[in-house]
Amino acid sequence: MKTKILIFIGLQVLLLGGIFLFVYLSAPKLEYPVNGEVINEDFVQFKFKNANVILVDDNEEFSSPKMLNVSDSNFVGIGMTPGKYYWKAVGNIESFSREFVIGSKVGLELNKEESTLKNVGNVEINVSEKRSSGISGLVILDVEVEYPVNLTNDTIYRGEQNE
Amino acid sequence: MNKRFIFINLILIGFMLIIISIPSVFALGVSPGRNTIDFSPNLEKSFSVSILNTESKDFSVALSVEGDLADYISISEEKINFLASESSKQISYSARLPKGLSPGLHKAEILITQVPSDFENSDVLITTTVSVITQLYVYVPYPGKYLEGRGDIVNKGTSAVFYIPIISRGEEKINEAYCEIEIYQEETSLGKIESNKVSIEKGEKKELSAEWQGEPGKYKAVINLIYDGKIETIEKEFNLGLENVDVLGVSVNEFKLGDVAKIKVLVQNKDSGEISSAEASMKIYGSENEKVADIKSETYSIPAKSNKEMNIYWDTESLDKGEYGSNLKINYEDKFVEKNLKIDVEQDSMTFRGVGFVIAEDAGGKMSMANMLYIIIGFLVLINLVWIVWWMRNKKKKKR
Repeated sequence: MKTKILIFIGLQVLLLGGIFLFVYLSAPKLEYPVNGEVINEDFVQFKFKNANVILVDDNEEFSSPKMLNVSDSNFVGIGMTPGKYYWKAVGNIESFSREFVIGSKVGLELNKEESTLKNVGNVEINVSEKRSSGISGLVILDVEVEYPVNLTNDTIYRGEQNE
Repeated sequence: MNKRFIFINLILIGFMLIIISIPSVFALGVSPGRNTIDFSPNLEKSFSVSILNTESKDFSVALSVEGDLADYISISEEKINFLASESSKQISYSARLPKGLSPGLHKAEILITQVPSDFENSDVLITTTVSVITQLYVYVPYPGKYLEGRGDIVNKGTSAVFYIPIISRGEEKINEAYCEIEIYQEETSLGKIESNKVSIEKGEKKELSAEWQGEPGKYKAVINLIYDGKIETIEKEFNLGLENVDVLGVSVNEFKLGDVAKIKVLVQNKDSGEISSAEASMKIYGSENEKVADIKSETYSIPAKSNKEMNIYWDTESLDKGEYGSNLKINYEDKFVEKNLKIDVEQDSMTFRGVGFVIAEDAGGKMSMANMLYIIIGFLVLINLVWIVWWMRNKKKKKR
């Protein structure tokens, strides 16, 4: 009887080990972005193993995921707008999810020769003018958009992320 | 006479050099543009910010703080000098919040202003310059229940999918939140749809969704966000139907690594009107996510219902063989279409492969790792239960 019990326990250990080995080998492995990574680029290269689909969403429930089919490569890149995202990989089974943040970049360029302002960041910006008389709103500029201005000597053009 | 002529010429050349050396482009960047936190009494927190030298120039910046939270912010430095070789510099600021604040959003703005290198005081700055701002948003919970939402509408050709991300900014849990969406075409109501229903804890984010089928055209959606007896309304216009522009193909002929590659992007205008201004841009990234190239085409016009080849030139002199990621964007008349492509660069060839990037129809169809582990654990518990029952029964039999 004792031998039978020992054989049974041994079989269970073997079965458990086998299942865990199978899960370990076939489970998708997420390499990049690592959990909590803040990326200051508007393009993300996902690196992973054992998967052919990547799911990316802005909520943990993945209720409206964007899906990347990647049958023949272990990395794939996509352009993304600033914000917090979650991603996971799907192969034979689904991986756990990880989160990352695309950092917003506020950039403003003043070309004195052409008298233009340009949004050189990756988010929509709200531009205001600061003069000795006070601050007044000027324009909301989308990414890469130029705007003509009348240059005066004492103006500071201020760019900040729009709502 | 000759000496005087040379002297005048030298003065003129010197004057022109001074004019040329005065910078005519001022550019400045900051990342992140915003940090957002939830309020808690006496919270102390530090934040890192990168100031970007986007023009690769020698310059100085002055830092100052504005906004209703300005008194609670301290900055590590008040003036920073950049060399042309420095692409960015990191600074930090810390927030030491008070015991209490009124409900809603409170802001601090850290201003980074480009100033002359001998600058002392921002109040006496008499030149035209630029500032960029990094914001700190602090949300203080509203008493009771309070839900914020926005509407994202995805045009899927014959249907519109409404995604409404919601965040609970009140002090109490919301037991039931959902949306009623009424669709209008030129002030005529075409019907109502309802989203899924969720409960949402304080500070939690969730998403509601609903789908509406319709004919191609322009519509307006009135989204009523209903939660525990309260209603918030969001209005949004949307289009239904196919995109006007499509990328039919991307290719490179007769390529040799080290040459300037002529990338041909074939674009189709499916609309019955001419597109007067279209431009293709491509960002290319290496395997370590580093930006390899940021290239653009010239501006093209595309006649109605026809195809156009747009050319982008890429200098591959310092490029290595390998696989690259890229993001191709066609900008036209305030709209754009995007495609993500993989580029295989060999000694004598450059090939593009498309990467599908779609809204998932049925995501999560596969078993998750957590579910798999639950099943394994459940299976083992079951085996052990059977084994214990069998062993007990055997033991009883032996006693008899």
